[in-house]
Amino acid sequence: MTIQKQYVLPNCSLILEGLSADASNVLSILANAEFKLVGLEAPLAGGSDFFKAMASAVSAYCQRLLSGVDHPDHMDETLVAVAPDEGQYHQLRVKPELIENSSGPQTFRLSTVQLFDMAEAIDQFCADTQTLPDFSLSLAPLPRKYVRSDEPLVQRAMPPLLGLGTVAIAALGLFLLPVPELREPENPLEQPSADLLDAPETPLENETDAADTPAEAASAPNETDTPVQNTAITDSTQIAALQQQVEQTLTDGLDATFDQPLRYQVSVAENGDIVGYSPSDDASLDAVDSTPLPELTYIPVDNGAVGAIAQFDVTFTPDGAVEVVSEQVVVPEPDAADSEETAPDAQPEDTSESDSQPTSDSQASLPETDSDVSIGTLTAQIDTPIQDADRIYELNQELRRTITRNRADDWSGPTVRYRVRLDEQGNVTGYEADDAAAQRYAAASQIPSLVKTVSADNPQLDFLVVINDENVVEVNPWDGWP
Amino acid sequence: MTVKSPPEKSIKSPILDKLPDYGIQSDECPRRAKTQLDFIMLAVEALELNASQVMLAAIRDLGLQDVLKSRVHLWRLRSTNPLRKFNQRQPLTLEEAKALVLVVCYLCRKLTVLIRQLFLGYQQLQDQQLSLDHHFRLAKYLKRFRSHFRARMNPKRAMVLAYSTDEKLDELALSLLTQLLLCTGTRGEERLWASLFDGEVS
Repeated sequence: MTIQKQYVLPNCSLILEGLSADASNVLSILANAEFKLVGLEAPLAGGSDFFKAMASAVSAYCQRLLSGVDHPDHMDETLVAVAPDEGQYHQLRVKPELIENSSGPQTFRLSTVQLFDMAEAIDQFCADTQTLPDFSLSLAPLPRKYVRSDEPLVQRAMPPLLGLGTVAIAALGLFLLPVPELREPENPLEQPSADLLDAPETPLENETDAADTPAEAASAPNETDTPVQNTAITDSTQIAALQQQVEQTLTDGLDATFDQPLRYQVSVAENGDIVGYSPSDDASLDAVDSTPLPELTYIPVDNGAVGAIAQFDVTFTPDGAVEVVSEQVVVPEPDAADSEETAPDAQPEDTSESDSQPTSDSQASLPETDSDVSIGTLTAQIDTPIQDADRIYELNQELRRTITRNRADDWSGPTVRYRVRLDEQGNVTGYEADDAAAQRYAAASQIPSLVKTVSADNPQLDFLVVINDENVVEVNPWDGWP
Repeated sequence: MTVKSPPEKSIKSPILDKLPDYGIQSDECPRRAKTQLDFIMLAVEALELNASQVMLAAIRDLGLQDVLKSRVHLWRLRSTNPLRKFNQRQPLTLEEAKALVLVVCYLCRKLTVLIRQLFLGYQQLQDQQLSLDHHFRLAKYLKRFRSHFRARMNPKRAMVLAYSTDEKLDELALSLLTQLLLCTGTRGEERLWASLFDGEVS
């Protein structure tokens, strides 16, 4: 049974003729398709292939009208092709073999409305489930691969080429630049890191060790001694003041007695605090707890905060006395007096070069007596002063020559003043430093080596010896010229 | 506690399901789709005097209030067109685009007669080789479209600059009129929706 379906629109009618495969009224086998367009004399008729090609081409062309993107389906020149024509017209080209009466023209000029009515007829057919249910016209967006770019290849290739070129030029330019030398920072980290590592250790150790065994307690402050090398106090007056202060402090703190003298090296801060100490021998190390040193030692919170320090040699004598001697100021050793007393002939040989003739006389004429003149200090009064002005002048000159001869050539100290006592023969019977600086430079001035033990009964006189910073020696009678 | 009503879900208008997603990965419409939708609506406005009211009525008729909530929301969606002067740098979601497609096609069907008349007039003018001014209704449409376009599009954009002359704008208006005609068809929504993603899917 032949079934005919018609889809009628104002400008186009679609007539489909076919057979039903079964008893139902469904057109399932298409025999003939016919487009009747208003304005065209002959209808466009064809078979199944013609209809399928027409439907897909017209539908695709509609999509092209909507999106402006060409679809491959309407550009298939082998079957049916639709292309835009001038103005609102469109060109429909159909392959002659597909059309039944192929004598007529194969190219048709359709207006937009005609084309739309054709598409609408096809769409209505698709919506009709009673006609060719197997036939479907899918509408889907065109995949990206079919979209041809409007721009020619050269233009599209320009941006990446330009980018690559820029990179190449930049690389070339950078290649010509010299490679910067890698310079290691001149170990800026070592100094602080060493400090940081040491600093927390030392105070902690000190605190714990101080409570522990004496040996450790003694060794621990040693560590505080070492970094303390930072700055030393050089001002002689300050050192002298510190010396007295430390002596006072230690004497006050001393309550125990010992069998033998204990000697320690002690570091003292500017404010008089004892910041570290170190025993000089094993006995001192063992007996450190009986001295007031561990108690008096002030452990600084921060090593760097100690500032300038002075080093002293501290001796605790068995009789409870404390002697503090600055390491920087070399004063005549207390032993010197003893050794002189025990071995009196050792001394004259020392001084024999300086003043040869009087020495033997004095030594010979004045045998060992208990001298009241201790070295380094003088009695305030002279019992029998020398009165003779000429003799005083001679003694003055002689002393000046002696000191000039003996003093160190590379004298670089400050102006120092000494009170030197002479007897009538010109022997130096004693001297006294005027201040701490003078005491410190006493060794350099060689005055101590000139001292001889002479009886206090002989007439004597004090002279003022000044060695100024330009190494010029001035000698005058202490009480002025007669 | 007895629950008498089912839990509230965001109910998607079933009408939107007519338009498939075509396997588009992101939820955002491509740039060309935003532009095209706005242009088509501009053409509708040029045809319909009271377009904004008609559009709101169409939204109500289609039951799309959930997607296109208000006049301002509609304006903001149209302003996602990158060529607009006051471009909203917001995405246009697929759902919103679908709703706009449905509204446009709904309006186009109402305007079918007018659109066909314009095309017949256009055909006559072209056959007689007359300029487009000779058809009163068509000339009015073109004029309104030009003024709408120039008022709303950013003239600094290169794409807008291409339409600087009246002739170019008339061409655009006529091609949009063709699109409106296609939208009036049986499968108008599908065709317009699919055309928005031409060349954008893999």
